Amino acid sequence: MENVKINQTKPQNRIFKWGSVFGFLGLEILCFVSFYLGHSFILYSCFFAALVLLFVVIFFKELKLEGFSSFAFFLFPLFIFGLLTALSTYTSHSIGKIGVVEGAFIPIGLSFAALAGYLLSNIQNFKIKNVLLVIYASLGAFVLINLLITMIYFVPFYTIIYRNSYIFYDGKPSSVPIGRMAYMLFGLSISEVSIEYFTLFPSVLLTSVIPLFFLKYRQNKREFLIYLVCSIIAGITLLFTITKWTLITDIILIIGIVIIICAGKYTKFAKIMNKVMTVAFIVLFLVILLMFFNSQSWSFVTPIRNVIANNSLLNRVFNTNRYSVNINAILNDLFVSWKLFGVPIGYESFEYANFVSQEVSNVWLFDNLLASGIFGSIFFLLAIIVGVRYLFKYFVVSDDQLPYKMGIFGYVLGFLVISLLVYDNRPLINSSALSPIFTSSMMLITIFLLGFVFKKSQVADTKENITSKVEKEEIYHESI
Amino acid sequence: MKASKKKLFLLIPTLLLTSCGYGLKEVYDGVPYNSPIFEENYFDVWHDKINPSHKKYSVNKIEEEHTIGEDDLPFTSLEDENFKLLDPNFINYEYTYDIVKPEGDKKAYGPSVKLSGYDNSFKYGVSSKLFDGQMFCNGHYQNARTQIRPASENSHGGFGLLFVKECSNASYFMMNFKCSLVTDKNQNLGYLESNIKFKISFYLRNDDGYTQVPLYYSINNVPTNSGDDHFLPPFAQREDMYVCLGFNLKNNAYIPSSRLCGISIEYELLSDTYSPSHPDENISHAVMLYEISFPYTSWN
Repeated sequence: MENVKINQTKPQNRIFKWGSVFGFLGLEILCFVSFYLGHSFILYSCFFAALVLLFVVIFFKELKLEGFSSFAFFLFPLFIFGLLTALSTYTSHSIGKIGVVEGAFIPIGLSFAALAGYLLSNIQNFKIKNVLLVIYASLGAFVLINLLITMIYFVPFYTIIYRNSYIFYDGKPSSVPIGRMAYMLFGLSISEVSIEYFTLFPSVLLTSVIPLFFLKYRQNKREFLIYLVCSIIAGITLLFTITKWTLITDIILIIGIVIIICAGKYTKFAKIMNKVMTVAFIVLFLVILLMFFNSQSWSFVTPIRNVIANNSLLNRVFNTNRYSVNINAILNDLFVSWKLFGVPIGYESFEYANFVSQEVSNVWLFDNLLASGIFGSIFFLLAIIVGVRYLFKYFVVSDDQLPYKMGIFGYVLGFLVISLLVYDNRPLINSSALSPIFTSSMMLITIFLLGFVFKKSQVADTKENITSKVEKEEIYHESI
Repeated sequence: MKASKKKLFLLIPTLLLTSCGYGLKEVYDGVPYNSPIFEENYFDVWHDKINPSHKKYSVNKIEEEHTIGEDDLPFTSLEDENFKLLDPNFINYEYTYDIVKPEGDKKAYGPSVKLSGYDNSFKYGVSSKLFDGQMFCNGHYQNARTQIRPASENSHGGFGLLFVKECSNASYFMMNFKCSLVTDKNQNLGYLESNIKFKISFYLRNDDGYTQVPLYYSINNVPTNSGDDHFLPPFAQREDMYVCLGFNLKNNAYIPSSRLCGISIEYELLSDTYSPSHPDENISHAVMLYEISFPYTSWN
């Protein structure tokens, strides 16, 4: 009774009072963005910008800048990357021809998505449980629609049965065999897209299987069933549209999911995996370094190039697989034309972005070089590294329940990793227009989630939680 | 829980039911009808239900022969006065090579009246070449022409298509074509002319199957082959190397325009300007059909 009186006399916080409204708005926007409306980046940007500006205007007095400096290490590089990309000619080649004016929405979209996540995490009613449900349910509906559309046109396993067959459409034979295409809802129309692009969505949706291993069915029946249905939809979609390449990416994805689940379940496994991951990152760094040297024509790297060329396995990895030719060309061009240094401003070139005359590699890590130059891509990488570092910190420090922490973990890491393997920069079969990954809805949601975890990974140093925080940080440092 | 399980299991039959392979009706290992051997490119596809030699044939024939006459307002070019009578927008069109955009406010005729523009169902299959608005050859033969076999003692030639949807308000019919003639020696024969007789049949859906409405039309001096001078690129693309044939369907006593859902085109080679001077040579002849349209229609 006494507690009630105390609460009644306290002036109510406006963020708490209006939180439900903003929480609902935020969920609606996430639902909309996650459902994916083709290349509607400008629309998504406007939604996030409107939400953030409304939040700031209404809660201006209540806003506190504590902890914002660490968030700025995430926000600032994102903004710089967006700015450099907007100035480059890369965006002139993208779907809908995002020109100079529309290109401005790239820094706006990325920054406001991050800010929206950061600000909405202040609202107590805006729970990660609902956020994940909305994102996965919306993505699940989208993937189901795509599956049904594709199955109306084709049949299960058509990617294997008809892998070398062509169809005529609108007077012309398809530019690729039907085994390499699928149908999906692209904007407000049904379009033929590449199978790699199509696969990205069910692949990320498959990470919805992670919370299933941490939720108790009896206590969370509805949630459990939503995640279960999403997982089944993703599984069936991946199975019905399987190709030789997507089989490899599916296996990688499943291994990743199993590792995340085991790491969440068993502390010892998590510790071992941390060490394994550290080694893996070092190996990955060395591979990229080797890739870089292999692509250069400097005389002192000739022995390295010879070793790679003379070994069949290394040659396959570095020179003759589906990605390596274009990656090598991009890396080689860095110190040949020097066009990717500085701010890559230029008028629209005839065929290629920024006058760099090679195709995109479909690996965003390297394609960002074309999009924003070397500095822009470093800034983007920096933002992602800072974001993922805080994601790990959030995982250890936050009071959110384990299933949802695992859910965020699965979505963000699942997207960042799998998009390196299956994202197609030219998704439409009948068009050569680009759809850059930084304008995709999943990237915006990933940025939103990374922004969301910042506040939650910074626990106030109150007497009550100092002890627990120290304990948690010990675990965190041990694990990292 | 039981209800939820049932809903989950409903997903599987739903998926199987939707797996109707709508886009797999015509699949090819490569690009069809694009062989360097002339004889291999004949498009002699007949839908089973309108193919006289097939078991599924279900057509009521109208035995009366109707030859297109002046009452049907036939035209053979867009400059023809009959075309101006049939098409209320004739002033806005230019019969021009598709890639060249007409000057001013005018529009290219083909892309403006293409069937695939009226209904998406015309976009599927190899026959979509006939409905895509490309009325002239632009070098990508496999994307443009449909090569029709002439009638002979052994074969009725031609092709027969049934559409996915029905048209109930056809105003007029149009097709764009020229002819081609080759010999065994496969040499360049230069510019020739052919006299041909078309049998164009419309198929109207009825309760039992289809009613065939055959129409006959003879046309002389059809441009056949390109000229000798291959260094003049516009030659094969010149508009006067093609015939744009059409006639009235609206309020036509003989041709009911309701429930129209198919077409077959056959022809007979009456004479050509090459054979008389080379009586010993075997020739192969074809109508190179580029476009078919029923302008200003809706399909249900």
